[in-house]
Amino acid sequence: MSLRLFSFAALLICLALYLPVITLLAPFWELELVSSWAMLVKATEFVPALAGTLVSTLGSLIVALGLSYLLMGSLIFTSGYQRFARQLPLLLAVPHLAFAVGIYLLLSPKGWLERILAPLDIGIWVQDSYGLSLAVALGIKESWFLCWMIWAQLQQSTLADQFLVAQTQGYQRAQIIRQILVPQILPKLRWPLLAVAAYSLSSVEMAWVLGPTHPPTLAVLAWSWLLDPMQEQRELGMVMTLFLMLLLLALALLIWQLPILLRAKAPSGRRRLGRLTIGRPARRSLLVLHLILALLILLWSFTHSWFYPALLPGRWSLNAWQSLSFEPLLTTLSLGFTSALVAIVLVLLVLETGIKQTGWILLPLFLPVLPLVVGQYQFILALDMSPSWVAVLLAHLLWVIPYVYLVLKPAYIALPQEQLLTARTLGLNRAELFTRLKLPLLLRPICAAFALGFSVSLAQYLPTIFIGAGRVETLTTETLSRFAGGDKRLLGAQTLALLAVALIAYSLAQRLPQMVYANRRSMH
Amino acid sequence: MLKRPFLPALLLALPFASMTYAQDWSAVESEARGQTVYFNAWGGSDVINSYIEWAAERVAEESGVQVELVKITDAAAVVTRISTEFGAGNTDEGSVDLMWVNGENFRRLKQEGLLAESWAQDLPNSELVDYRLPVTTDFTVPTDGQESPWGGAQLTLIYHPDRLATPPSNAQELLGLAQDQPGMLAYPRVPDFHATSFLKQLLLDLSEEDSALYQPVTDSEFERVTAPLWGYLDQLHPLLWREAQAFPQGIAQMHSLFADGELLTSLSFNPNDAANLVRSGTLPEGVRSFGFQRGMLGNIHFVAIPANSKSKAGAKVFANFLISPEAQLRKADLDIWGDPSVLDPSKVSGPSAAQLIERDPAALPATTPWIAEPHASWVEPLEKAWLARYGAGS
Amino acid sequence: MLELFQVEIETPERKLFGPLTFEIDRGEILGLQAASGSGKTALLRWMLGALPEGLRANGELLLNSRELHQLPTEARQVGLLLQQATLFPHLSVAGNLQFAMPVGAERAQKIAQMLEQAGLSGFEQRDPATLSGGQQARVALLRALAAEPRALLLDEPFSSLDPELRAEFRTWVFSQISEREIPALVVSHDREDLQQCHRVLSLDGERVDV
Repeated sequence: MSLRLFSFAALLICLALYLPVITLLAPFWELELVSSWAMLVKATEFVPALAGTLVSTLGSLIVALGLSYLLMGSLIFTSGYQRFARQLPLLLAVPHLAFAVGIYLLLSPKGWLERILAPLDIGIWVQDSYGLSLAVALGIKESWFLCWMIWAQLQQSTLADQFLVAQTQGYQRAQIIRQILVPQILPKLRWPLLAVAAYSLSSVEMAWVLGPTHPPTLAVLAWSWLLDPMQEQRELGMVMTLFLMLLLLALALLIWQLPILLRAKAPSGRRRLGRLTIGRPARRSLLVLHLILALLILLWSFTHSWFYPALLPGRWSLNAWQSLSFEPLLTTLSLGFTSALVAIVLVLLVLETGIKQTGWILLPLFLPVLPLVVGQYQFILALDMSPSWVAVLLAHLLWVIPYVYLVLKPAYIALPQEQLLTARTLGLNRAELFTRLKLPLLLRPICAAFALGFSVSLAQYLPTIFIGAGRVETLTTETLSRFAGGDKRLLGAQTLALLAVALIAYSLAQRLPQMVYANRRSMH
Repeated sequence: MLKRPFLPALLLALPFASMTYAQDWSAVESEARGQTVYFNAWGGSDVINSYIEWAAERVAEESGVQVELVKITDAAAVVTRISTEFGAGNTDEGSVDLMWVNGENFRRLKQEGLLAESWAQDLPNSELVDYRLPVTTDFTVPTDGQESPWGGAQLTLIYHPDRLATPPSNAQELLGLAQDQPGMLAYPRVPDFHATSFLKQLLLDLSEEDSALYQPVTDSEFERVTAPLWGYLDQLHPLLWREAQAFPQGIAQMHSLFADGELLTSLSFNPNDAANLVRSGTLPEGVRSFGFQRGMLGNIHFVAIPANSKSKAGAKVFANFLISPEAQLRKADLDIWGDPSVLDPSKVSGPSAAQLIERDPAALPATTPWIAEPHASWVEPLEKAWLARYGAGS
Repeated sequence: MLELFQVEIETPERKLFGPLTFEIDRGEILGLQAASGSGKTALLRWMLGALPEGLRANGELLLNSRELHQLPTEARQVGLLLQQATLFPHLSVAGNLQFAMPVGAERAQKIAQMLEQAGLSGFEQRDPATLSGGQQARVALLRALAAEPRALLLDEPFSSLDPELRAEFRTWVFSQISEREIPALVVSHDREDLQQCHRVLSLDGERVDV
C-alpha cells in the first residue's frame, strides 16, 4: 500500500466529485434551444430581473473594489495595517447569510434605522426594486475577501520597498497607490474578482433576503422555475442557468479588461496632495456596523414583542432560544468537520501525486452555483441515491475542496526543499517524509484550510436544500426557513447560532497551531 | 378510473367493509411499526412545526412509527421532486412519504398519477370527519380517497380597530380605503399561495361568484370573468404599499409590516391566526379579524401519500392519528395552533367537543359565510395572467 | 548638511544602538559599518520617516538646518537606493525615471541625457525585467537622483552585484553624488565599499579605520 497508490486514488475521487461540472453543458443539447430561448426573452419578468441582477452584480463588484481600494489604500504600510490584517479573517468568517439577516433587521421597512430616523421621515429600504441594497451589502461582504487577497499579494512581493522608494521621491499615498500599487495588484485580482462576480450573480440566499422582490433576481427566478411543477417552466429554468453562465462569461471579459480600463495616466511629475485618509473612519464605521448588526440579531432573539417605533423590545422572552433544535447544529458540525477533513486529505494526496496540472480544482469557485447543483442532482438521481447526509456531504465537497486547495497549494509548494532533501538522506521514504515532515510543517496551513473548509460547508444553502431534499437541515437552511417564516425573534436566535458557530470554529482553528507548537517559536 | 367501483356498489359494500376494517387496519398497523415516514410540510410556522413534532412523538409511542418532519418552503417544489423521481424510474423508493397538500398541487399530483390511491376512506378515524364540510372535493376536484382531510381554513383579513374604524365589507370598499389612505394596503406577490387566494377572493367578490368559476376553465370564460378583476387591480395597484413596485414576500412579512403600522391590514388563511399571533407577541393586543359581507374563501387542507413512498403503511397510521379527536382538539387549541378541526363535534364524545368550535374574539367571526374554492384549473391561468400584466413591475 | 543628534532606537525588549551623533557635509560620503541585525536598516527607515511598527526612536535629524523628523517621508527630500533595484515592474525604464522627475518641460530630453551618461542610450522603452543586474542598478540610481533629493541614503547598494561590476558601479555612483554636492550615507558591511567612503563610523558613533 504505497502513498503513490493512495494519492492517485485521491485524484480519481476528486475527478469523480467534479463530474457534475460536465452537466453544465447539458442544456446545449438537451433542449430545443430556439423555442426555449424565445420563451425566456419573452417572459415578463426577464428584462426587469436582468436589470436587477446586473445592478446588484456590477454594483457589488464596484462597491467591493472601491471599498477595498479605500481601506487597503489608506491603511497599508501604516500602523493600523497589521491590526486590520488581523481583523480580516474574523470579518471573513461572518457568514454571508448572517450578514444579510443583520442588514435586513437594520434596514427593513420600519426596521431599526427607520425607527432611529423616524423624526426625519426617511425610508431606507432593503429589497428595493433596483437591487441597490443587495449590491451594497454584497459589496461590503465581498470587500473583506478582496482586502484579504490584496494583503496576500502585498506579503509576497517587493511592493513595500517600491512604496517607500516612491515616497522618498516626494509622492503621497494616494498617488503612489494609484500609480504604483494598483497597476501591479489589479491583474492579480482578476480571479478573485471573478469569484466575487460568480457569487453575486448566482447567490440565492442573499438575493432572497435583500434583493428585489418584484421581480426577483435572475438566480432566484431560475431557482423557482427549476422547482416548478410544469415541465416547460423547468426547461425555462434550465435555459436561465445557461444564460447565467453566459452572463458570467461576459463579466469575465469585462474583469479581464479592468487593468486596461483603469490604467492610470503617466504621472506629469506633479506631486499632488491627497493623503487618502478615509480608510480609517471607513474601517471603524464598518466595524461598528458589524457590531450593530450582531446586537440587533441578539436583541431580536430575546424579544417577545417589539413594535414600531420602539427602539428596544417591549417585552423579553427566551421562547425563541427554547424553540431552537439541536439537530441542525449537530448536522452542521458533522458536515463541516467531515467535509473539511476529507477535502484536506484529498487535496494533500492529490498534491502528493506530483502532477502539476491541478488548477482545474479551483473551477467551481468561478462557476455559478445553481447549474452545478442541478448537475449534482441529476447525478444523485442517476445513481439512485436517496437524499441523505452522505449525499449532501458529497455535494458540499465540490465547494470545500477548491477552497482547501486554495490554501494548501501555495503552502505545499513553499515547503523547504533543502529540509526535505536532508530528511531523505537520513533514510525517510516517501510515506515517512509525508507523515513525519510535511504534515507537521503544514500544520498551520492545514488548520487555516480546515477553518475555511468548515465555513464553506457551513454556508452552503442550495446544495444542502436541493440534494438533501430538505431532510438534511443545517444552521444555514434553518436560518433561511426562519426568514421565510417571517418571525424575527426565531430568525434572530437562529442567525445568532449560525454566527456563533462560524466564529467559534474559526477562532479554534486559528488557535490550534499555537497550542500544538507552544514551544516552537518559528512555527508561529 | 375504471378500476374503481361505482358509488352504489361502494355504499352496498360499506357494512361489509367496516367489518373487515379492524382486521385490515391491524395489518396496516403491524406493517407500519418500525417504518420511517418523511412528512413534507410547509415549515414556516414554528407553532405548526412544534405541533407536528408533538404528533410525531405521540404516534411513535403509540404505533412505533418514526415520523420525520421535512420543512419545506414551497409545496410545488415537492410536486416537482416526486415527478422527477418518477421520471428517473424511482417508483418505490421516493423521498416523500406523506405531504401536506391541497388545491392546485393535489390536482397536478392526481392528474399525473403520482399519488397512492383510495386509502383515506379506510382510515378508522375517517368516520369521525364532518362530511358537511367539503372534505371529499379539493378545489372541486374529487379527492377519491387519495388525500385525507387535516384541517379547515378560511381566508381572513386582520385589522386593528384603533387604526381602522370600519373595515371594508367588499372589494369596492377595499379600493375606497386604498384611495383614502394610499400605500397602506398590500398583498404578497403572486404566485405565493396567499396572494393567489386573495386574487380568487377578489375575483369571487367582483364576479358575484360567477358559476363559470366552478367549471374547468376555458379561454373565453376566463377572459369574460376576469376582466373586472384586471380593471380593479389596475386601479388598486398604484394605491398599494410602495405603489406595488415591491410586494411582501409572504404573509409572515405582511404580519410584521402590519404590526409595525406600515400596513392597515394583514392576511391569513387561518381564521384563528390573529388570536394566535397576539399570544405569541407577533401582533399587538387588540387586533381583530374581518371578512367580506358576501363571505370569504374557504377550503380544507389535506395530507396525501405519493405513489412511490416506501412507508405507505406508516404514512396511513400517521394520517389516521392526525384526524383522531386527541390530535384535532390539540390542533384547534388557540395556545397550540388554532387550526379549525375537520371532525364532527356530534361524533366526538365528552366535554371537549365544544372546544372544537371555540373561537377567540380576535378570530374571524364564525358567522362569516364560506365561499367554496373555484375549480382548480383556474389557478394556473390566473397566476400567469397576473405575472404577464404586473410581473415586470414598471 | 545632514545632522544626527543623540539618536537611539529600541525594540520593546532592548536598545538597538545609540545615542548616535554625527554629521555629513555636502558632497561627503559617509560609510556606516554595521553587521546585519544591528539596527542599521531601522536607522535608515527612521531617517526616512518610515520606522517599522514596534520600534521606538529618539533624537533629532536636520537637513540643511531644517528639522526633518516631524515631516512625512514624501516631504523630506531624502533619496533612497536599496540593495535590490526595486524598479517599478509595470513601467518602462523611461517611465521609472519620469515618475521620479519633478514637473517640468523637456523631460524626454533629460531622460535621454541621463541614460546616455549611464551608458544606457536607447533604453527608454525597455522593460526593467529584461535588464541585467548592473543595468537595473544604474537605472535605480538615476531614478533616485532624478527626484533631485537633498541627501541620499544607500542601503547595501552594491551587495547584489558581482565583484567586477561592483567596483565600476560604485565609482560611478560616488562620482554622481559628488557631482550633485549632496550628503550621502552608505550603510554596508563590505570592506571595499567602506574603504571608498570619505569617512567611516560604527553604530556606536566611533570612527573606524578600514
